[in-house]
Amino acid sequence: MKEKGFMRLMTFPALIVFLIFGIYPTIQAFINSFTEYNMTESTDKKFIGLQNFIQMFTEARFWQALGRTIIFVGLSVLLSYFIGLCISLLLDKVNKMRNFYRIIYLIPMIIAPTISALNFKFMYNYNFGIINKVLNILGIASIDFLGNPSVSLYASMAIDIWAGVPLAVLILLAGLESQSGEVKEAAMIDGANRFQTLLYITLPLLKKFSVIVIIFRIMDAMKAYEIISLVTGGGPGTASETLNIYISKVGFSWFEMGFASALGIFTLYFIMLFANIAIKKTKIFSEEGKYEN
Amino acid sequence: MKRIRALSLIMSLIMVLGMLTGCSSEGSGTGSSDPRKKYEGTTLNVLLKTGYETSAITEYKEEFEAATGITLNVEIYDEATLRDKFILDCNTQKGYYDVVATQFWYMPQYINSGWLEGLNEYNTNQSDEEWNSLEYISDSALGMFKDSEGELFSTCVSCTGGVLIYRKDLFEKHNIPTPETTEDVLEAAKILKEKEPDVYPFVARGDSTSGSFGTSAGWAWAYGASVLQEDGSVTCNAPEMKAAMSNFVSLMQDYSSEDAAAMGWDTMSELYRQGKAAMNFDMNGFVSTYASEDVSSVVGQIDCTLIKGEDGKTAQWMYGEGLGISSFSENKDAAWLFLQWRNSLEVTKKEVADGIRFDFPDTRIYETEEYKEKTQSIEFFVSKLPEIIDSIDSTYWPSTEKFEKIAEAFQQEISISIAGEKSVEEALNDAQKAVESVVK
Repeated sequence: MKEKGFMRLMTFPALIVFLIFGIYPTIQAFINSFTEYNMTESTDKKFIGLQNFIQMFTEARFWQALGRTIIFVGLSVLLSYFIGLCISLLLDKVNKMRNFYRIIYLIPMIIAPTISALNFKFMYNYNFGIINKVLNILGIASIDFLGNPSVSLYASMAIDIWAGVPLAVLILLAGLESQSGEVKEAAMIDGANRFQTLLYITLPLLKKFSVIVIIFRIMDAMKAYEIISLVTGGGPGTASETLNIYISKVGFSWFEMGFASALGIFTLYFIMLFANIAIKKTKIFSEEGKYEN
Repeated sequence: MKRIRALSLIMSLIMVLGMLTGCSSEGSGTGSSDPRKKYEGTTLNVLLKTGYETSAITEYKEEFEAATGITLNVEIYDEATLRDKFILDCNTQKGYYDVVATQFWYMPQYINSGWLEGLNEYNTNQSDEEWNSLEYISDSALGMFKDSEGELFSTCVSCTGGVLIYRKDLFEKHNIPTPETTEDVLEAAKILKEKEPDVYPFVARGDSTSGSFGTSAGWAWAYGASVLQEDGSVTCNAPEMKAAMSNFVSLMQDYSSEDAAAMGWDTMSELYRQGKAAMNFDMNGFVSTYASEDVSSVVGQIDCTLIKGEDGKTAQWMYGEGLGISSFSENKDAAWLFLQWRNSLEVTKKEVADGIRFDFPDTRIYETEEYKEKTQSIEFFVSKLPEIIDSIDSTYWPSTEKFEKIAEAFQQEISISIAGEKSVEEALNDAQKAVESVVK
């Protein structure tokens, strides 16, 4: 009993931190979302009911930003998972210098998003960027990664994929290493070729790991801010403006905290809904008996 | 146990002593008769923006500290971060920052919110004879930092106008006359595109941020067009604006780099410094950068000129940066002393000697021998400076608290038009709607 009490006491500091930095700002944002509150104006907060939400849902810019967010998250997660899977399957077969390759593939994960974004911004430059220089050497015309509205969102997405692949490799490789070779051998003896073994044995056994990768990547991609902000700034026009970029503009360029809070609360529920569906559909925690409890 | 008690007692005493000594808001001074030492022991938190205006402070701050006994704690950020930090500090009313760099376009917001201290009384009653230079700064430069009643809220540290910087070597080579109008610029661009295929005829800012608004709005003013009228009406799609933006977008689309819609001041100046562009329209501050051997490959090959539009007005790229004192600062007197030092002729001369910059709001410097000697290599520029400063016309600028939102709404449409996604007319009609909704 004493031990339980002590353990509860030990969780107390973490709980306090969570309440102050997690719960309190969320409640405050929720309250602000019903107010007209501009930090650059001397007037006090004014309660305006659901007006911020009405403005949000009737504004084309919001829906466009939401659409881009869905495209960004969807493609970034799928492609980083797929590339991560291919690399981990290759690494699983490598015996020589295995650790060296693992470390190499982890590098993008270690680099701060801000540094990656600035580096890529230079690399993407139409006139001086190394990517266009390489394309030119290969006889391909330069691509306007940052100034072309049809390309700029995907240019930012490519960086997010580059940064997200190592996480996928790390988790999927652990999953592959935990698989028993006997099942695959048995399948081969029964006449299954390599592709069939991959499709019917390896991938189903990787399901739990894949779900973890996808959930983590969804959360990562939903939070993507520095990359887009520093590489394209949401432009040209609003061509690469996702919800996070829009919220930061409303909140920290225009200081319209009431409207920014409404956008933030929507985004929070949107992510929670996504995560909840993913967790329920995949039953990732139910096997352990944790989620259903 | 006794030790713990003794230790607690000592700690408490230290804390009480610390509070007693630390609570004094302004340094008590040493009793020295030197009026500059009156605030000795004070620490000023100074919030600055990156740029040549700031270099003088970081280079010579030890001299100010030695002369006054005031310690400077300088923080330097990009413009957006600086504004965020200042606004957040003002909202908490803690007054952590004593001095802040102020861009003229945020002055209506800062003044109306009561975040900056009025300086008229300081200027009258606490003037340092040697350091105070306000009387030598033109009214138009100081006007950017005043309210409607004439109260000054920032000293003017820099003040620039818009110029067309062009490669005189290429112009001479192809017998192109010096452009005088926006149409001349277009004509010159056509010739250069044909004769110099490896050089972009024209570069300017075209990205969708409010930082590029100065280019398109300044170009529009040459045609007599502005985003807002004095009565507050929105005129983004007026005929003169269409004429101005058709000319500008055409230059950016057909005679600039492919990524013109994403071009900020950094990529624009990089292209020019590397000799990959023939004409650049921006603020006059870039001339000294392009003429600096340390960073430019076009030294000795450039010249600059003012450009007029259909309306006969001069194309603008007005920029003004000042230093203000936070209303919530507890060290206002010391801060005022610092503001005077920053704009003093003494510091200005040092900036010239070290080649930090050559355009100043304090007109006395232009008559000094040091200035004339140091600027021999850019005589073409300094000889035009009085004309450039005279040409500054702030009437086109949307001086409103909602500047950031208005500028962005307009510039996003121009950027999209440069990218070829919308015609100029469509973009301006959309800009009209967007700016109208902001103004409402």
